[in-house]
Amino acid sequence: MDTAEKLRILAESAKYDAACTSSGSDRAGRPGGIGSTSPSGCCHAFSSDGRCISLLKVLYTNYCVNDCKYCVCRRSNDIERASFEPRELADLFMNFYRRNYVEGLFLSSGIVKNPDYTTERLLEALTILRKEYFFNGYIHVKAIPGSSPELISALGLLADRMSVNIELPSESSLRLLAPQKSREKVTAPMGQIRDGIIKRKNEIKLFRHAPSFVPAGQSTQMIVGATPDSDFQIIRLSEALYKTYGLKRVFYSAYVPVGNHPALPKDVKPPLLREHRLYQADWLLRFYGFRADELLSEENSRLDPLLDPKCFWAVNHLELFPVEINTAPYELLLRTPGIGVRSAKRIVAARRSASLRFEDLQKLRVQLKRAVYFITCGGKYMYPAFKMNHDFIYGSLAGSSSMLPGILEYRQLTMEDSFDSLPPSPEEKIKCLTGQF
Amino acid sequence: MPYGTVLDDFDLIYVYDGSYQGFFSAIFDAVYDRREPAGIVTGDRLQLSLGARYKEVATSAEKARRVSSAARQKLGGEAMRRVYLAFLSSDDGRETAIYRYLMLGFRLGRAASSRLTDADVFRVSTLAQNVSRETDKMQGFMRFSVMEGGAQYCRFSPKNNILPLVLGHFASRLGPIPFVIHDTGRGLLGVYDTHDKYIVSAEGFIPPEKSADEKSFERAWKLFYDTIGIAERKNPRLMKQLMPARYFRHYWDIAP
Ligand code: SF4
Repeated sequence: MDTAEKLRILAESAKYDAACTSSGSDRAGRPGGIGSTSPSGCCHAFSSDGRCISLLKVLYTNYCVNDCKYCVCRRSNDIERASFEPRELADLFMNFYRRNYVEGLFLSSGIVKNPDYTTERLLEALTILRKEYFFNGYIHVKAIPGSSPELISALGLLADRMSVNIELPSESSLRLLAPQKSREKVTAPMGQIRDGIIKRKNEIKLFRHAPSFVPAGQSTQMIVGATPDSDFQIIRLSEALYKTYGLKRVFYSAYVPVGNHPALPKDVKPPLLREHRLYQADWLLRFYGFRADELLSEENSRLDPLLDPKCFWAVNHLELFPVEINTAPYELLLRTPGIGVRSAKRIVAARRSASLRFEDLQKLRVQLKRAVYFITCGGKYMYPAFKMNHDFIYGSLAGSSSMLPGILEYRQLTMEDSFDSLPPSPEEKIKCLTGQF
Repeated sequence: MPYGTVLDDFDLIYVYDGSYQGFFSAIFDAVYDRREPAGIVTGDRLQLSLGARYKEVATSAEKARRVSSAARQKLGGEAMRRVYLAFLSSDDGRETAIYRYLMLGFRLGRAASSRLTDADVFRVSTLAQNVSRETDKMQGFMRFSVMEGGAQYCRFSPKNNILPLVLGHFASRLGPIPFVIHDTGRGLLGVYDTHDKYIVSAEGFIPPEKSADEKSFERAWKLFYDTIGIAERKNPRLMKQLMPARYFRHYWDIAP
């Protein structure tokens, strides 16, 4: 089988795995070496489904000893199989990279023989890239659950980002659909990567030239819509992962029906709107100071399809509104629909020198369309006759077409539209939020 | 004008050679002449109206250095970066806007840059943004072919004159690999020989033959590209919106 044919098969198997951005490291080229990374990532093309292609995303092999029901590579699935050789993969990648087809490598793999054997192959490919071709650009590698800690450490020294997929939001789903995996098997390497990152950070403080360990951090991925797990369970888990393992990102991937287990949904469309809402909620957890149990609860466990989670929260907490633009604390501004991280900061800065009026807010990039219901300037609503009323506000917000990305026209870049501002950290300047390639 | 303006009865247009140094030399001359220039343009854009005269500026590294280091001191490095980016834009009024922006900066110092209500400050900052946005996008969408002999070649035709910027980007990225980037619209070549970078005219340049295995990599990439779109998620409108045609009309791989 020639390399191109392998590439076709192994990219095919890798594509359902949504995670990854080419970002998070900032490294200039190095004399004699090839490659640099830029913190904003860099889109090299967009695929026909609108995700950006900046990484060569392939599996090392799609042979697998496991039989996870939701996965195309599961042992019992009748598909074409292929496997790269480490050098073959490294050469192919370098040829793509030097032509500027891709920005970096995203390598994952099925499990051949056993986890350690598999990790050793990945390690060999990465070693060729880093030590022989002096490739200095971005590499994201999946840690294979169950491999030995030494191998994971070695891999971490070569990669920019590592991820271990949590795959399913609950232990019970995992038991049902991925009997060879357990939450524990997944979280063990996560903990190890976290500790490795912390240790290196301390060493770098002491010795400036300590080798960096997974400098772009670790991420994970969850499949959404394959199991009955609720949105509440999902974001509560994400919250815990951010806290416990210091993850950089949790990626959500709408389940595309590839399995035939009786417990899996069949003939369904990927729940793209739900995936989108989860990304929005995730944003609120990371940058807006929300807790998962403020957004949802056991009883109310589903994200609203008509309103983004921030508007939904506000509509249900009308007792906190209106907020007075000229005096409200920053934290509360941040929670107001139509005000993003940047506009909240701009407001706080601008109101020091002059009292703000509605005319000024547009310049500060406040989205009045959404904010009007929740704010006053100088004690007055923009429309003096306005009365706080839950149903009215809900209806008006839900009625504006941009709130319905999934129904009218699904756009995957709408995070900014919904929260009015770019994500605050340039390192996470996300080019394609959901299902980033 | 901070230096007092000479009042006479004709408009004077400064004509420079198109280089950044030439442009700064023109600013030097205008300041030295104590004259608000009626325009600062390159020769090919010179249009004399009734009563206007023009003066050809001799490019001088020394004059350029004096103006730019004074400006850097007054306005700061970030502003100078913005000025450089705006200079690379294809907008016809760029030179005049930059000139006025700098003059404002000489008066107000760093505060000038935050005066976005001033038309010139706003224009310079918008132009700079456009240039840097186009550069970011282009850097992603450009494609090289490997030629016989191992050097790489890439053609593009950007709206703004971003060749110097992309040249720097790829030189730092490709390290030991020499390459040529061809701006077909402007007829310029950006050359990187693994030590130095320079920009030369493309007149008479014929790109060398593609190397023998180039086709197979092009095919492999196309295969990869076609494979990874998820049929269930197809969204051609979104794709179009993300990839305006002008960025990739030179490349074979990504036409929708
Ligand atoms: S171990 Fe990974 S590759 Fe193998 S079947 Fe499970 S999810 Fe798929």
